[in-house]
Amino acid sequence: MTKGMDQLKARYDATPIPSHLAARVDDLCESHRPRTSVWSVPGWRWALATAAGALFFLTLAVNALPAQASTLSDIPVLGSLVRVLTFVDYAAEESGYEAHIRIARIEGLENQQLEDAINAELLADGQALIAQYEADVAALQAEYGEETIHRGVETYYEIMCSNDEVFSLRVEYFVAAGGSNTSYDFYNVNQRTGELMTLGSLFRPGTDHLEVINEYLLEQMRAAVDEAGHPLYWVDETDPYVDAFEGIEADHDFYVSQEGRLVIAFDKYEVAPGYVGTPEFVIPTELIESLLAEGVPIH
Amino acid sequence: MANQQFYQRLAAHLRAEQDRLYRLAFSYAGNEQDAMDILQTALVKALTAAPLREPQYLGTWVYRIVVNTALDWLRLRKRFVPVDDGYFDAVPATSERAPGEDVLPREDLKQALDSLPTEYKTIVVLRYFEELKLQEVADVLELNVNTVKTRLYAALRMLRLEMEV
Repeated sequence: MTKGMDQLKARYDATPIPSHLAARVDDLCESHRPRTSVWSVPGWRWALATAAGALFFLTLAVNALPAQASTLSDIPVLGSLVRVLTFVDYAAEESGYEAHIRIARIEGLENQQLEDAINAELLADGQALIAQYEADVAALQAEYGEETIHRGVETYYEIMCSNDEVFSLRVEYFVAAGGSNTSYDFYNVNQRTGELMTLGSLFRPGTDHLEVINEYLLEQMRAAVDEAGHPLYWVDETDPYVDAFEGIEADHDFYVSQEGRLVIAFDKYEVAPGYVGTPEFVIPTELIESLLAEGVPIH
Repeated sequence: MANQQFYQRLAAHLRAEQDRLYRLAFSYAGNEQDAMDILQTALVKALTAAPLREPQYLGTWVYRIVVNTALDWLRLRKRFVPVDDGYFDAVPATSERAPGEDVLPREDLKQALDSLPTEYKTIVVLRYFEELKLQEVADVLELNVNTVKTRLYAALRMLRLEMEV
């Protein structure tokens, strides 16, 4: 090549690659995964991240929850009579397919009826997941035979808060299928009243708590986007291929932290690209104090 | 499951080739934001397209989508810079130069490349920067190899570069 073309090519090769290119390509790929996938568990969001990210998260989650790694183990909770134990511990592993589904069971809630209802739901959800996994593996084996297809399902549970006032349990669903997805279910019990708490039940009727929370969330997300210099959260249509987050709905996922704060939780891909993970926002209590219903355990 | 298989292959290809595809988009856009826009539009097109029947052409097919998306973008932005014939007249003829001397100073050469009609510039980028074979360039652009060759010669003439096609 002549010198001139060499220089042009060198310059072309030196085109700076944006740091968020890989994450963006991942997100585009995963959000366009064919919907007919045998892995389409209803209600789960099927946008997925990289296999590397999945592995990292899996390792992290296992290490972060040593108690869940042992089977059928009781998890004593200090200062409370509520216990959570692994009621069903389903583990399967076969040439690339891997499942570890732990079905939790709560014991010791003040309200026995509520405890039974939650346990029934935990069991039903877990069993449905196991049935889905087994059906999916059978379908994939019929399709691919001996070929190794890497798929994995894991569930974890974690006690977010347990004291005299509140019991908050988080069930995590982690699915790896090329990429990975993480979503959560939350159970929040007001131990004083023995009632299951919904987001709305925390506030006096007729208050504009959603507007207040959403204003705060958007403000936090915009600040994070500004700081990062690229669309860390999908707000204000920063990304033409996903809907901008405009605010949470009345029944949005939340939990109460051990410190008694209201924490708004998001699933993976709900408001941000996959590499952001599962964002959580602690709502400053002073922001919502005047709107709270009487006696709710938010401090 | 044909869909699934094609998707797996395509996603793996896009992840592996993302840097090259970005550079290609950038060569049209000239800035990061527009390059990302072009690339994203192109990837969505690829990811929502009907599965390719002949997967051995996946690479050229993806290039084609990026190039066509970039051309659409250029058309929309009406960013065509018409080639001013007089621009090249100021350059000394080949015979007046010392051997190895650049015909155009580096910046001018870049400018000259950018001001080539897009169909010529694309061929130069794919052939010399992306280092595709002539047949592959022809496949990407859905042109006859001879047409590609002719245009490449023309492009090099316009750039006052003498090199092997």
